[in-house]
Amino acid sequence: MKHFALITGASEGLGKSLAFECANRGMDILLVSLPFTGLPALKTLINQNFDVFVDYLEIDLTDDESCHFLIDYVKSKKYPISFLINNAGIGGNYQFGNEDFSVFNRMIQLNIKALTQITHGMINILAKNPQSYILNVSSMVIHFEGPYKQVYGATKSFIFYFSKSLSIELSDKNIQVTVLCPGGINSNIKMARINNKCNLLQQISVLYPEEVATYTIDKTFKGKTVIIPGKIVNFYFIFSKLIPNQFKNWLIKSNNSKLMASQEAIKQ
Amino acid sequence: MKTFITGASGYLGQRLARRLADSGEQVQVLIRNRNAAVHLEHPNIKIFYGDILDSDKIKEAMADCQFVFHVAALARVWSKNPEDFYTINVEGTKKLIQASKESGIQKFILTSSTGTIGPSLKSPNDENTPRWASFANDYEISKYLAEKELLKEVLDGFPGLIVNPSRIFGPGIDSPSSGINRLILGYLKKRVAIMPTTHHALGNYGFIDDIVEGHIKAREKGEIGQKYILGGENKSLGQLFQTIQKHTPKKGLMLKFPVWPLKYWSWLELYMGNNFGREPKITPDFVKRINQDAAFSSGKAIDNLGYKITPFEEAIQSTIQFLLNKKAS
Repeated sequence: MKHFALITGASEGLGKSLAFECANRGMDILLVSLPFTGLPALKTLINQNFDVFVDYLEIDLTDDESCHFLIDYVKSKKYPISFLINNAGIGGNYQFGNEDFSVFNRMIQLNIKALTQITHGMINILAKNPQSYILNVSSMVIHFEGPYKQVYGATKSFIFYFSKSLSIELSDKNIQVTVLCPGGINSNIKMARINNKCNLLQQISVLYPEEVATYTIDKTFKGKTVIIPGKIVNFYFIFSKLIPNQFKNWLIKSNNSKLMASQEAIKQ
Repeated sequence: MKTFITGASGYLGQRLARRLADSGEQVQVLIRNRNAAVHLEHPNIKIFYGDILDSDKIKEAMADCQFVFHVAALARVWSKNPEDFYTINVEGTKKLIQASKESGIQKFILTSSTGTIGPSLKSPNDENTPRWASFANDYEISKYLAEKELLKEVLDGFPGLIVNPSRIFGPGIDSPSSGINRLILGYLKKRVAIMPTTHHALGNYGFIDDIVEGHIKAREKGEIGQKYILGGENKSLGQLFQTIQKHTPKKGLMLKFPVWPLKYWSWLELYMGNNFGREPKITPDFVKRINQDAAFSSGKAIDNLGYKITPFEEAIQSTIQFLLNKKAS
């Protein structure tokens, strides 16, 4: 069947790579991202290279009304969405006490609230197709609780629990729910610069969004519930289960501190 | 009429300086390395010594000039400190622009790279193709940021424009900037070249003399705030190797090698680089891009500047001849 994908956070990084991957597989696409992030040019480029239908919506999903608007827009256009990709998210490393609450509020609004609201709004549309898929983007940080990622990691843990739970709830339906837990990705210029400043053991685990996108869509369509891309990341994950907790915590702390330092260095 | 060139001790800059000087123009250059001056000895070239991060030196070397070619850059795949790319390529460009504004320069041509536009999809990339592939190497990111700096200044009335050469090759001084020259040289010396088993990916190969002419034409006819791709023909890696083999008098061996072990080799190279300061021969980013097309169209430069492309075979042939003569001498 011909799929119709809705991708949030499609202007950059993994979202953009997922958009090209979907187009390459002949899916129609609705791209959603913030205004002035290059969606019109992205639509043109996809249309020039792939024979698929593309539409885009430039909205800020941290706003409740925008999420409503997106849901209404899909209904009014009668887009038969069969592949919902909840990719939009805000990350970063922050010292909890030193940061303005608005930073964490936006994170919660986008990573938790918008994702839940959009999934809720789309579920009946998804159910109308012979087979539909929901792909939610969580993170590997949920298995490595550590400093500076308190709220971010917690929002990603929400996504993980929500997805696994929903997957079981919908197991007798025609909707497959998958959750992606990537490690470091060169999502944008800032992330690439941070990653390039890390040590070799961190650097070799970093993946390109293009390779993550290909792997993820393959595995989603094969019906996997949890996806962890990258051999090195999987190796670190298994290794972390074998070592004493204190050692694990020390490793995470030193890792996160390096990321934090790189992030600070680039700000200047 | 006087022209100021940065990066004149490098592969492209040196060739550009000599081409202008040979045609009778007055050229001023700013270089750091006194040993590089031998390649620039010419009655029409005035050499200044100093760093492009030193604003006073820039202004001194730029005095009386109407045109600037900002060719200087850290054009490598790796640097022990990745911040070097940003200091030299981004901050350096900002300093050059600032000095040019103060000196009332008429036209400023920034030499960038097609690497800022990135890999291509089904049709070749042009100047307006938005970047779809992720950025991962600091060189490409820094050149992209330098372009952004220049375009921001253009909005304030600065007379700048950008040229984007593709993978450059052809006669010139030894340099890490031309991977193709090094590949050919290695093949001529050892009579062995290692080709990946998957070699379908397209690249764009620009002949240095075309690119030098393209720079000069951009100075004459280039529009302020525009970008011009200065490339050559789009050829697959396999075609590149075949053409080199075809035009080499003594046939060597083309060994085929799978791509996947290269990844691990590149990690080792990176480790050696980071810990012992040895420049990596290949980087993980290079390996990831081996199978990606990077085709470009120079159509805009051809139509608007009168840019000309030397046929690929002819260009490779003359490069091989040049390198053979150099090896013999």
